[in-house]
Formats: sequence, C-alpha cells, structure tokens
Amino acid sequence: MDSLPTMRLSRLPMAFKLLFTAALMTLGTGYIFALSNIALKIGFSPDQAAERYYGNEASRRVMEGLEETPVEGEAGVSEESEEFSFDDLDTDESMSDEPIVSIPTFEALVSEGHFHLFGYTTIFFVCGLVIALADLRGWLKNALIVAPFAASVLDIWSMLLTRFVGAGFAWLLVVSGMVMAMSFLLVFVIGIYQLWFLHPHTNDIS
Amino acid sequence: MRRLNLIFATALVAVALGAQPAVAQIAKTNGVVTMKDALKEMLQNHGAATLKKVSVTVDADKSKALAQTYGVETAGTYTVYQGIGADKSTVTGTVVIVNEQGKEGPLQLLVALNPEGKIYDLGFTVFGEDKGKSASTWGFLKQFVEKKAGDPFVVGNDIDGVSGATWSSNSVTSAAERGVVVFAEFLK
Repeated sequence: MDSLPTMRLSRLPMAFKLLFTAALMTLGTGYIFALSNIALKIGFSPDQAAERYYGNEASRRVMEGLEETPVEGEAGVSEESEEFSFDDLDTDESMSDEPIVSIPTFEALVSEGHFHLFGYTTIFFVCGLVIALADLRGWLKNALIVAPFAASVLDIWSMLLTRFVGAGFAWLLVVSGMVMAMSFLLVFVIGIYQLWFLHPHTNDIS
Repeated sequence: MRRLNLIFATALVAVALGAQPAVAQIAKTNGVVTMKDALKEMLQNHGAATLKKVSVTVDADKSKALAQTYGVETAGTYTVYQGIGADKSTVTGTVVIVNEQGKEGPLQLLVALNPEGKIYDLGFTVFGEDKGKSASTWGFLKQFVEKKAGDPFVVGNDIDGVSGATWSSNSVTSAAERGVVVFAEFLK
C-alpha cells in the first residue's frame, strides 16, 4: 500500500474506493435536497436572498416594531383614532399591500449559522480528503480544499450582513453559495472519475 | 302542498345560512395575510360599517393580577380595531392584535372576537416560525374558534399541539389566550 503522500484515489484498495464513493453519493443526494430546499423556500437570485434576509421596507418597519414593545403608562384603554371607513385602509401608508415577509432575528441567524457551519465543515472535510488524494495540479488541489471552507464562513457572515447592514450583501450570499456548490460538483466529478475510471498507473501530476 | 312547503322551508334555511358571515375565513387561508385584508374580512364582512382604532395597555401590576386569574402573562401594549355597526353605537366585532415572540422569529396574531368575547376568526400578519409553519394552518387554528376568556388554553390538554412544532403551538396558543383576556378585561 502507498504511504500517505503518494496515496492516490485510483490506487486505493476496493474498501476505501467504496467508502469514498458511498460518501460522495450520499453527500451528493444531500446537496440536491439542500438546493431543492433553497429553491422552494428562498430562490437563487440576489433579490430573493435579499427579501429573505433583509425583507422590504414594510417588513422591516413592522419587525422592528415587534422587537421593541415597551409598556408605557398605566393599564387602560386609549382611543387612537376617530371612526373611519374601510376604504381608508387602502390609503393608509402604514398598511402594506403585500403580506409582511418575516425576516430572521439575530438569535435565529446565530442558531442557523452554528448549525450550518458544523455541517459545512463535515461535508467539506470529506471533500477535502477526496481532493487531497486526487491526481491534480498543486494549485487546483489547494484551491479546491480551501475555497469551500472560505465560502462557508462567508456564507454565514453574509446572512448577518444582509440582515443587519444592507440588502446589497445578498450578492455575497449568492456568490458564496455558488462557490460551495461548484467546489462540491468538481470534487464529486473528479473523485468519482479518479476512483473508478483513471488508470492506476497514470503519472501523478501534483 | 306538503312538498311545496318543504321546498320553501329548505330555501329559507339556505338563504339564512347564506346570509351568515362565513366563520374563520382568514384562519382558513393557512398563511400570512395583510392587515387590511384581515380587517375587512374580520370586521366589514361581519357587519361593521366603520372601524375605530384603540390601544390597550397592560402594565406589570395588572398583568400579574390577570396571570393569577387566567394563568397567562399579558403585559404589553395592544393595538385593537373595533368594528362599528351602521347605527354608530354597536360594536359588531373586535380585532385584538397580539405580538408574540416565537422560537425563530416574531408572530403577529389577529384575534377576532364577537361581542360576547368568543373567537370567530384568527389570522397572522407576521409568522416568523419557519419550522413551525403548521401552527399557522386551519388544522391547528380551528381549535380556538368559540374559545373565550376563562376557557382552558393548554397545549396537550384541550389544544392538540402540532407535532414537531411544540414551541410554535405554545406561542400561538399563548397569543390567542392573551387576545381573549385583553378583550374580556378591557373591552367587553
């Protein structure tokens, strides 16, 4: 058996080939489900990501109002308006024409962030292991190992930045998601090809 | 002749039923609605000609007293819309807006009550619970129709919680109970 520095996917024993293949297939299925989940709940465009995490002006106004509900004054009832007609609701600027898009709270994003980061680390550690054993040029190998980890951290930060700083950061969210998806796709294709179709005696090009 | 009478009676019942406002139309939408649509359905379609906006404040002392009676914390400021009948004096229905903090995000529940204080419709204008979405559907909300202050609002007892959405079930139940208690104590 090869030592670790010379170990390659194409020369792995059958048990390891099956292990890596099963892991890649299962992760691939998981990735398809994850992308389907995003497609169904949010969408892939920056505008859709911005709506999910930044909301719109109406939703931000309502949500900020909900977050701070101070109790002022003594218990009792006070009139806020004279009687008005139902038609006035249509011209009331505080009444949104569209349903309010609920935007996540800081606590919800922290919860989502830690959950995702542990998941990303597990997925991309397996991917990194596959790529570390692949016959690839050094720079491509290193890039494919590091890029998804960097993108996953950027992904979490861009959710927070989009929610609390500005809708423009939704681009960062989309780009980091694309980097992770492309990295995984390359790892999957390269991994399966080199595990099963690359001749074991092909020269190491790394 | 007897057959004619039967047809006439059936037609009368059908007309009478048709004239009744449909109950819980907003709750049956199974999702988030706009405030204006909800108020029109909950108040205008239930006999109100105009509406009035009032505010109810429940301070800490009053909340503590109400908690001893009803078992629910109500401290906060509530916006309330009252539907006023064509006679300009009758309150035909009341919508209490209750803000509640869910697990993932805030909820804003509109609780529509008849003059006796019984719930006849509910609707969300904000529902921040992504995983607990089932708690915003008619299947769950229908359990609150006809409930009033003093009735038990206990998930797992008289309210069937949504499987996998216990927190959301509790949040919605608490919001609905706060709505009926605020109405009973300040607006009835």
